[in-house]
Amino acid sequence: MGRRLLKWGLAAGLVLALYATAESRGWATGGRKVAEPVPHEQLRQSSPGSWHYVYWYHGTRGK
Amino acid sequence: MSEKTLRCPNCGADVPFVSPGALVVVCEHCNWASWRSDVDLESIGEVSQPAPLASHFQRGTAGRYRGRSFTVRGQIQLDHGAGLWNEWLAEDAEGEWFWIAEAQGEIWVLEEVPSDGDPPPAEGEADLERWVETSEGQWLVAERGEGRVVTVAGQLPIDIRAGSRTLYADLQRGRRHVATLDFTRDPTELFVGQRIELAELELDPMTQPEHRPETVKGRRIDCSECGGPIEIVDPEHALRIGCPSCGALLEQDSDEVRAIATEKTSRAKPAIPLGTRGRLRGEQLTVLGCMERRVRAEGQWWPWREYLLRASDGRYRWLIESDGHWSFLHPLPYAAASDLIRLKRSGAPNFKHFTSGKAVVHWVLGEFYWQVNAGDEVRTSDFAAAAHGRSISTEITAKELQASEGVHVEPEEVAAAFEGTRLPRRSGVGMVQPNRARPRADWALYGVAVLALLALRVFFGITHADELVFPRTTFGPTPQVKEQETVQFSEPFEVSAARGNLRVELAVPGIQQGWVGLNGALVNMESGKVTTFATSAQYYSGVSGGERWSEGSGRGRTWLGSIPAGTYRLRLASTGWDKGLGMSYDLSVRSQVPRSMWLVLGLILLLPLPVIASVRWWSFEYQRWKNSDHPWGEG
Repeated sequence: MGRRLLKWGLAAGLVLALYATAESRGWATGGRKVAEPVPHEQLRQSSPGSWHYVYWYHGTRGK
Repeated sequence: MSEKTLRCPNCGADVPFVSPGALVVVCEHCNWASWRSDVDLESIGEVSQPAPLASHFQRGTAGRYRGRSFTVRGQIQLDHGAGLWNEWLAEDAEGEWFWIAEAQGEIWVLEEVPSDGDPPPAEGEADLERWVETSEGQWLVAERGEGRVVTVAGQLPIDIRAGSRTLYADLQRGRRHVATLDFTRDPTELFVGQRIELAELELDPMTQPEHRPETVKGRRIDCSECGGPIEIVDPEHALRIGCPSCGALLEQDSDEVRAIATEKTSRAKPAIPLGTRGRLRGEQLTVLGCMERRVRAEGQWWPWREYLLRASDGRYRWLIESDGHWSFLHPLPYAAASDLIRLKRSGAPNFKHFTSGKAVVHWVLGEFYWQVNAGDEVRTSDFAAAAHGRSISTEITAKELQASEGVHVEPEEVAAAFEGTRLPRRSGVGMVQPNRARPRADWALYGVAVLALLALRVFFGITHADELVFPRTTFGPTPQVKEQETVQFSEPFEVSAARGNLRVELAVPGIQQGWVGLNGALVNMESGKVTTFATSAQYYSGVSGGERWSEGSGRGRTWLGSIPAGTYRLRLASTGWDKGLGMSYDLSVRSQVPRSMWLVLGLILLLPLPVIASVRWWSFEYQRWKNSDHPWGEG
């Protein structure tokens, strides 16, 4: 029983820690962070062409 | 108690009568048995001296049984065709008599029950395995036998003569209750009592004999066939001897040893050397003999080995080895075994039928307390309470029902107990080998882990803001032409949580047979850092094969992780398909929303532990029951 409790203690402790970390740090899978900031002038542009790079490069297009 | 003295009709010596209830007396000087009349002694005849069997009792042994002081007055020595046994007659301070029987290390105390118009069952009503009704309740007939009174000694309250035959049935009820039906006289006599421990008799050691079971000395004999030396541990009870050198079967006749089967039954080497002394489960034991028995099933023999052990108090034990798996057995009353198997009690071991068959003795080595022969057959049944590592074995012959209770013993424990043991290789799973997998415990612990995860979920539900940072706002419409995008920017909004998630929620009210896609970008107005995302909403419905169907809900959402606090805008590029073209859509954003997916993922991550334990348990039990009469998955 001792070994079983130890095994469960380690496994459940790890999972609880992961869960707590995921919730407290706001882990999510839906977004992609662009590595480099987008210049301000580009941010202001609403034409699609200048944003294609951002979308295509980071793979969210068409999803 | 007053003592009366009469004169022996044979030698004239004084014969003292301590008890007024004594009817037969044997003269200590000339072994002349006499019948006591009102005034004198009438001759019965000469009797032989009782054989000096090791015993806890002798004439004059005093003790105290359940508050009754008693003294052993008389002795009857009987032979039931397989060795001698003693019955002692004790008288208490009130002049009441009771019987003490000892055989194979067991002690029974019995008292005669007057019939009082309710006669005990007659001989023909007490067949083996039958339950009989008496004035003292119901009893199981566990043995039918015939004995011969070899000799008597001391003083006896009954008229019993040496050489007379007795016909009896031994009865059992539960673990301790015993009774005997004696059919020798008419009507049947009933004796009722208990199987007891020696300590319950509180014997006065000063009155006990020197030659007791614990002081038995072995002796060395030579095999009449090969001349090889044989060390006999318990010469008084070694009725059959299998020569360890040549395998010949021998029997003792007085001081002679002669072969009864010159056929060499075996040259096998027992795993535990015969004569080895050791300590197992708190008992000091000596290995007397080893026999191989086997059953025939599915066209082949299935053998196992049984080691007969003698405890220091004279009782017998067994070690059974089958495919390298060991069980330690002690005798159990058949009625008690029957109760254990039949009655299912909460928390008690649940004995399930494992196998039944006709066991045949293959070979015999060493000494045995009964006249065993190669080829002897007996009906056996095994019952297993595997979860408790316990078993019950029953054996039925034409004369008696026997049972034993066993516990699993690890091979290493056997090797540690008996020096020189060479353990055979273990294969498969033993009948009561403990299953180390504990799926119930693992599922229980899984339940605890689930509760802990749920508690954390509740905690985050309370502490997380789940704040609407960008209220529902209508955008669009999507372009009227496929493969075009409509691009819009939202108004700036604040995210206050330092490192929370964001949930972007898309809704297209009234969408029918269409799809709306959104490529979004969350732009930090101070740093210029961008997090891109995509989501879509659709709703299609129709009728197919006469059944209505629908797909989608007109809603979509996505999660963005670890978003720092700051001011943000959304860049939204929307597109449409089918009737999603030209539709407006609503968007809202929430911050620090507890995410149930992580909870579910945690539960899934822990799931293999109980699942693997369940699979291991099942696989182990499958292997165990494969060797039984009830293999899993068949029938």
